[in-house]
Amino acid sequence: MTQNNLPEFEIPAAPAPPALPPAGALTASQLPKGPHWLTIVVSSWLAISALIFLVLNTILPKVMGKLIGYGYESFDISDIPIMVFLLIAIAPVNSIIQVFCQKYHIDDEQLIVEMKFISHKTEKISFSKIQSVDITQPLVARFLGMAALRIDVGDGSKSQELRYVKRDDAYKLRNYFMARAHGEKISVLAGTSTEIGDVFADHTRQDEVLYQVEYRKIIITALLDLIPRIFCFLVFLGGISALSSYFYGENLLPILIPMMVLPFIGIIYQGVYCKFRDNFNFKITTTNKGGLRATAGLTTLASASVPIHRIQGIKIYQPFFWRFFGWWRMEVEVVGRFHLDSKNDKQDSVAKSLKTLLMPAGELGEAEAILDIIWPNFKMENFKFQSIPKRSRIFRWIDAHTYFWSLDDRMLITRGRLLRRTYNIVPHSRVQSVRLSQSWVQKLFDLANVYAHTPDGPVNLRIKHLDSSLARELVLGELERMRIARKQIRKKTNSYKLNTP
Amino acid sequence: MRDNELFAPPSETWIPLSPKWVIVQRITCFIIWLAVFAAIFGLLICYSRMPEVRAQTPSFLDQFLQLLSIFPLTMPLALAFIIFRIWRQKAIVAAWGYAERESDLYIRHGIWYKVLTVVPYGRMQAVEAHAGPISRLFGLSNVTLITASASSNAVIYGLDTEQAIALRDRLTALGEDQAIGL
Repeated sequence: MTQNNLPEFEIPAAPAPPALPPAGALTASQLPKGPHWLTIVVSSWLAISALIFLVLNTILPKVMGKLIGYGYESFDISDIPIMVFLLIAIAPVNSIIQVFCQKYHIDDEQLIVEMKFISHKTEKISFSKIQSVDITQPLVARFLGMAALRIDVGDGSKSQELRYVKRDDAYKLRNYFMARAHGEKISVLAGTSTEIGDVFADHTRQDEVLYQVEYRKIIITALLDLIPRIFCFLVFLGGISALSSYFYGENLLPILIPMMVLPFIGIIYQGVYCKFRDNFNFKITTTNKGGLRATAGLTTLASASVPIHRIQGIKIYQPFFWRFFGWWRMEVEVVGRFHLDSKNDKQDSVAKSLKTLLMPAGELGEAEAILDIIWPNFKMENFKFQSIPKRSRIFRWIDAHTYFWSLDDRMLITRGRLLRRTYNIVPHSRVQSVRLSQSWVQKLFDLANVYAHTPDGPVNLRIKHLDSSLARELVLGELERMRIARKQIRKKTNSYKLNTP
Repeated sequence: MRDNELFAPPSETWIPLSPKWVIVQRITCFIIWLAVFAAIFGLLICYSRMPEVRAQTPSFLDQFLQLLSIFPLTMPLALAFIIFRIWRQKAIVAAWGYAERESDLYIRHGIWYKVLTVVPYGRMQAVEAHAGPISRLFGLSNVTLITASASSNAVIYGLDTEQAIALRDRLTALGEDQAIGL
């Protein structure tokens, strides 16, 4: 063998799979394997305290009476079935099943939530589809250091909830999920620690506060929103008074007023206290990864984090009475955050309001500061708004002059409505489909409607009663603009894919 | 602007629905309206046989219902309406059409209320082909385009099943090529 001449042939070792660089400060033992046992306490503390009260109040005196043999009636054997029934009826069965049968598997690829009770169910979330991550901490959970983590995905049909895990783990996992949602390839396991929030606030010094609500604005806008309700209430009372004196010859109002006190208090509670509670300490912060996070809550502390590239559209509006103060409200549209089955949704009211809220009440300038982060260099004054034609008064005989629309190479905007001034802003790259429609009456006046469809949510972009040739031009042009915008996004993501390991 | 200009696709011509879809629509229309009128007439007969209920209804309503109960007058009217609807289906189906362009699918429909919907292939989340019992008898299928927006509501009715499946596969492939994250 001419060993000297020929280089020795070596089988190269199979390349080890590239280890992902570590992300948060979670160790393998810290990764939640399932709901924490305190979930039982958090989700049914009321039932548990009722049970304890019942035991103390009913059974204990009887047992004591039996022991002492005096004072109380003796323990009756017939009480046992009732006790057992009550125990089963109010015992926190649901959360006990959840704690024992639910398992989480979190690795560098996906999150799997497994439920093994009578039927087995496994649900998987791949990190590339994460639309947003919420953390909710009801009051009891805050005391016990627990938090619920909720992940909304893809088409919005399903979302997964890790309920409840330790607060610190939840914060760290959220940071990890958000980093993955931004396309960063990092491992879930231990490494450099990043700062996390605490029981009072879900943000740290690292996060930049973009907007913070003023309490005066929450209370004043809550009172302003009450005006129409109270007006309706008074009209209702007046109607009863008038009808009763007309039909029965006797005014029933004095009898009815005491009965109306409770509903009235209910309206005030709903309108003022609940709003104050849900918007308490509302903050929009930018996370270190470049996402937006809204946090709020007086008793329940909730936060919602959205990567900026998941934002589908923005709606800024001003209910009628707010215009005297010049305040606006801003809502955001993200896929899967606006659920039709919100009635069955177990989420807290704060978490629900955070689903779409970006600014509870503020000046237009504050809104534009947030918009500038979402879409850099976005300036409302750069848009030249166009009105709809004069002849559309036939259809909108009071408010035709309040409707405007505008566009540039990035955005499509509508402005309008007489009482509630509204802006709908949608980037061309986010429009799902477009529609042109014309009824036979519109045809007589040579008018047509244009719709730009976005995922379900607060944003509703439609330009009605445009000149029909302009409408057609707008639709066809919009398709072209959408195509170019999509191409740019695709180019960006492709170059991103190539550059990252 | 004339409506065939307003609702025309930019270059290609509209691909019409299958002519058999007219028959399917006529059968469906006949069954539905027959059921509706049968229910109305049934209720009217029940009403006329219940004097205690009639005594309590306001007189103008009672008189109106009496007028409707003159069956030799109203039945031909109902029949005429059903025939009108059946006759009308041809025009309704003719108003439907779709056109495939390089990056978008165009769908139009409607006579009184004309609608043109355009869905970019890149925005399609899924394409479904499905068929009801009467459609299956005639070998027809519908194709639905699903986007992230529920209001897109883009359906092409009454295509020959092979055509529908081919369209679905073609659209799915185009969607995959041009797909873009939400």
